[in-house]
Amino acid sequence: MNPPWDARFEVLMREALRLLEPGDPLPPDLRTTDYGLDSLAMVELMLGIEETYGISIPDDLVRPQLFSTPETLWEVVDELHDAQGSSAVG
Amino acid sequence: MYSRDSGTDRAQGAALAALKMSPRAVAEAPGLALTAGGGLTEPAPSVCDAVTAHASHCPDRVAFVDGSGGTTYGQLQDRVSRLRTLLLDRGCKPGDRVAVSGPRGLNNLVSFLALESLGATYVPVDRTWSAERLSRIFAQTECAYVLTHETETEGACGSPAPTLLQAAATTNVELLETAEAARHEPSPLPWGPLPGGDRQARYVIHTSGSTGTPKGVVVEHRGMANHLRHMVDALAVTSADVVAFSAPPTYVVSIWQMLAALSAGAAVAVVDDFDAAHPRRLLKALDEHRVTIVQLVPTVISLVVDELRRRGSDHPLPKFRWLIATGEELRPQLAGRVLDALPGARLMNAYGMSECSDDVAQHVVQRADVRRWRLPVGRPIANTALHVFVEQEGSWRPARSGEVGELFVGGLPVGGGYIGAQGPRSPSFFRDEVDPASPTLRLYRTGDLACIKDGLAFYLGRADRQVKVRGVRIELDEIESLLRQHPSLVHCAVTAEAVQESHHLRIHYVAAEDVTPKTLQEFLDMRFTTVLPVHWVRLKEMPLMRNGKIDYRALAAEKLT
Repeated sequence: MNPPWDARFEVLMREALRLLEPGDPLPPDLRTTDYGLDSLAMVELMLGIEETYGISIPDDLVRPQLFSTPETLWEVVDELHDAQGSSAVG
Repeated sequence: MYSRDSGTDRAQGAALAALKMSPRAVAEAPGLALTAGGGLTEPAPSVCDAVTAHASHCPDRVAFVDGSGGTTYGQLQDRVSRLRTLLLDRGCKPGDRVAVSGPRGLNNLVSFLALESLGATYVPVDRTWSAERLSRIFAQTECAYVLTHETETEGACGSPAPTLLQAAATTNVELLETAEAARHEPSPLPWGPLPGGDRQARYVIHTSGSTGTPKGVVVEHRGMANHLRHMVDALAVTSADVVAFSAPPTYVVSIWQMLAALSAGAAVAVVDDFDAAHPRRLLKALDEHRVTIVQLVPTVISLVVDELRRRGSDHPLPKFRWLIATGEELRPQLAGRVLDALPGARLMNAYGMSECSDDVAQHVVQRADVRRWRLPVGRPIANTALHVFVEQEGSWRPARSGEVGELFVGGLPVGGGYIGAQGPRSPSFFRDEVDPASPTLRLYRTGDLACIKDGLAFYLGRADRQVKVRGVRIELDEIESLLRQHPSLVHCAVTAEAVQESHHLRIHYVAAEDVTPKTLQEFLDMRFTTVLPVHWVRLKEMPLMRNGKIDYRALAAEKLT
């Protein structure tokens, strides 16, 4: 089964989840805090995503719930990427 | 002035063993130490008296702000007063130790002040600690009650955390809800002088002890009062200031963050855990609450400086006038970036430990300091002596100017020692023979390497395998001895790699059976105060040196895959 996200997101997510082993699956509903995503790892993940996708996650969206599962985070990233991606170029 | 010699109260210090020093070394030590006096009155003032005074003179002045609004001094005093009544009804006595649990906020201030007014000891705990750990703490501190304000937060399901309930039940300690106090009448004024005097234990901070047994560090009222007074003076805190309460209540620095502002009639603004770690949210929160004084660990300072740089010049700069770095070593390069990014603020490098009532040395960073290879930790705070001693043939002597040795602290800040795990480790508290007039007569061995040069102290690292991870002291040997208790591990070795302002920990292990990093992490989290962000590296075999000892160099050289 293909994950709902792209390969770049998969790499960033796996880097941030230090308790997820390389061979383990990354299901969309995985509880990230169980796999080592603490507050500092969230900041690093967020900055990595903003840089990779050339987007800016609005402050009011930056809440612990945003990071609760890979799916909740990807939904926002995907949406912002569509909305901001084209205008960010140029 | 705080008297330098107060007879019988110093019995505890006098009962400690003296540090082994020759008479000549003892005679030379005062001349080579850094010392500072100070104007603390005796007995040391209480914070609840200051709050009561502000509440009567200016009841409408704001004492506390959080996301949901402000609390005035009048309202704060009223809440403290009602909780005092509740505690008195339950028979709370001077000297009782009371655990306090709940997310940081107004209730930490209210609980501390009510306990202080009764001469009881504030013991902050964290519900995310395991029930086993909490039980041990309740038992070894012989805790009289657990005061909890868990239920007032959103998302909580109306009852205290299961870990807390379980630990309280196991140890037969009564759980009191802070919110209950609202149904009690205010306690009539005046409350009189501090019951039990100012030598009394005011609060206890828990660190992880050897083999995972929690270790409680006892701070006396006079040590705390001296630090608060020093902070108010050094930062020139006035009623116009707003101090950020951004540290978890179980950390020693949370004490002055909550109380220095209150003793000066200023306001405290709470910044929650999530905001405290996210540079943009943090800057927004500091701006919204008009924070003027903020203390952060260098890891977070670095993130904040990056964020300010990213924002560019069209964004107004934050309004704080003091940024205080604590918990980890502040490096000159980062200090330089702070001075560039925040031209309107002053930067303080603070150095201290729970054992000595928080800070013992401070340095206001100057532009010229940035060119140094290391920043000074500076001069001692009020009523403090800093000594650098060198061990030679089993005896200690004072280091000469610029010579590297171990840092010792004497004077008013030196706390009352430990509750719980003592372990086989060598003692840290000694009788102070260098200054026979010291009010505590205690000398604390920090285990830090340091030197004194041109009237300034410099921190040069640890004398043992201790590192700081995000501001928390970690003994690498302790993690290893803990993990060796895990049935599936054959070998384990911990290495620390300095990364920017902090350390990254790697645990290399050889396992007998299938065990996942997640299981091992849970095993570790159960036994440690803080969740350690570690990377787990599974090995087929442990690299050993010829003498059979673990080859840490080979481990450190391995790259993460």
